[in-house]
Amino acid sequence: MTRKPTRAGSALIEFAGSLVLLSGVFAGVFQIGYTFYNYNALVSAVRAGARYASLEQANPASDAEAAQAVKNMVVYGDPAPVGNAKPVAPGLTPSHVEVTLAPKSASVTLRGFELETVFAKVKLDGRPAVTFPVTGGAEQ
Amino acid sequence: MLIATCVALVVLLALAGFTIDVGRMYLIRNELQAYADSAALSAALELNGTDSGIAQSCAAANRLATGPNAMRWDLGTQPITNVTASFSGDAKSWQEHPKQAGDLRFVRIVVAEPAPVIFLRIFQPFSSVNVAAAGIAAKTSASARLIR
Repeated sequence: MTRKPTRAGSALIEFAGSLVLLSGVFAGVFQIGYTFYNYNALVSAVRAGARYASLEQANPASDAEAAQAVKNMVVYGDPAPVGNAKPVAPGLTPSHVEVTLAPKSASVTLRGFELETVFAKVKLDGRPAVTFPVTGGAEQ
Repeated sequence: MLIATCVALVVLLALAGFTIDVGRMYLIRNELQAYADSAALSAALELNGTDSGIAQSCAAANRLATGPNAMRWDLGTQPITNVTASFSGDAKSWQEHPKQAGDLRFVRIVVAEPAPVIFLRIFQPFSSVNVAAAGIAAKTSASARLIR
């Protein structure tokens, strides 16, 4: 006597196969979205830092101090952050920010920062980069 | 069951692709906006009421897209090339090639780049979608400020 063949087992195998496939796809979509989200935040942060530098450069206390304030502005959104301030992107520290203060312009970019995006790392060296002309804060 | 799965999978993947493409466009717009703001300010600072001031102001806007600290788009990989500068005396009517430079104190920078799309490509003929950003700055007595 033989048992009638059923289709219950093949459904399980199909489910397992599609689960692997779909998890991969969703992980990929998450990865890309998370990278975009963080990069977007970094573009805005670097822009804010460069604009801050372009407004404040008219009366800097000293170059090193001014550069540090700009770096804090990029990383924490605040030139003088409080102790428990959180960086705009995970792992970002002021040492990753490169500030170039020229007489007429202020450039801000990231150097040697690796963006952790759960499944992979994105190396950001020289991007995002934003330059603003020095306008001074008096007229704002 | 198989047909339902196939249809659902296609819809699911298309939606996932759509979110990625649109997300990328917003990201590019943000990058271009940073450039447009900075270029408008740089251009406005160069205005001095003469024709050479107009030329210098166009050059100043383009300078930001070149050199070691050049501003870029598409996650900082593509050079910015499609920049249009126009000038105005009242921030209402804009001229690209003004004949009278005398009282022009507003600069508008429009930057438009073709954002590549991966998934929206199934709707031919789109292989890219234009993403644009604009910045307007005004020259003031000693400096310049952003209007918008």
